[in-house]
Amino acid sequence: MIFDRAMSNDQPRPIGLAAVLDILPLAIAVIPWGILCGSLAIQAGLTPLESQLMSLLVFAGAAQLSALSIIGGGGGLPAILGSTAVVSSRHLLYSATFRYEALKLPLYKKMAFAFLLTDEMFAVAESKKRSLGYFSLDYALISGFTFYLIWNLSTLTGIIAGSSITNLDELGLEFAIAATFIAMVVPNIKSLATLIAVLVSSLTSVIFHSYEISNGLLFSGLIGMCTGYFIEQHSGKG
Amino acid sequence: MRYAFFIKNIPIKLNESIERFLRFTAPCILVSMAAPIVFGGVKWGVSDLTNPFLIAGMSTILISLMIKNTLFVVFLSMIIFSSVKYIFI
Repeated sequence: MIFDRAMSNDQPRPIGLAAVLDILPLAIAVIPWGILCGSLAIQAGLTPLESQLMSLLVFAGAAQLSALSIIGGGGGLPAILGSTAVVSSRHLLYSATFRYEALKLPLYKKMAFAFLLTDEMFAVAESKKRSLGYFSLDYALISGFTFYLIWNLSTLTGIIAGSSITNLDELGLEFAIAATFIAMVVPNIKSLATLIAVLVSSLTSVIFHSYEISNGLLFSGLIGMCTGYFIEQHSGKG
Repeated sequence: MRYAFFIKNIPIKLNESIERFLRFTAPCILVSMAAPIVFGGVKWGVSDLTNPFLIAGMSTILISLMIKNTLFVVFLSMIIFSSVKYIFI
């Protein structure tokens, strides 16, 4: 392991190395999704260049997969834009969380930060902000870019493998994503309010999912957040 | 979408209570994405005690309570998921 020396050191790691190491597990877990995304793009009839550009320019796993299934099903642009807006609406909450930090940045840094802001980068950057006590733009950008790089390499793998991989979606790759998110959230549950918020979000998202309610993800997230906030307010200082 | 709240001209002032509210964003949104994968395919009944998503999902929760290394947790739970799938399906 090239990182052994840094990890065994008692000194705090350089922020860039910490950023790469923190995002790496999440980036590795997303590789199967990238491969799936690349091969689906080819199957949906996109050229290899178009497929790669989608990952390079859009850089949004869930939105890309839903857009591809619409393209594959012969759907039009309004359907693609609609589904992308719905799937991406959680990013509104992410950007609201980092609003104060971002307002201080020059335009190009703000845009780079916004472009690299994924579920995974948000999770590590927010947790780092709490442990450091301040927001580190370098940390956010480096972890975001590492994720971007691995996402695009795995899409490329999927494009090259193309339609030769037929039963990718039967391998349970979506479970890797669920496992990653569980492993990220569980160690960070440090208060009763968070625990209940998480339980409420899980329950409502399963209910919305079973009734196929569109935007269920955002609603269940918001319901959990409201619950957590309410409990925190009413349990003294929280 | 990601850029929306970085625009200065949006006349929204986020006060302290909104910040406290937003602190629940990460855990709530992440579990909202994970929960339907683990529990979405579960049809309550005896046969579902062999559902790999359910078994491996519950195992992941337990493992992540004990181990802090995300990559290792994901690795272990994928092994459990594949084994359960191999045994029962």
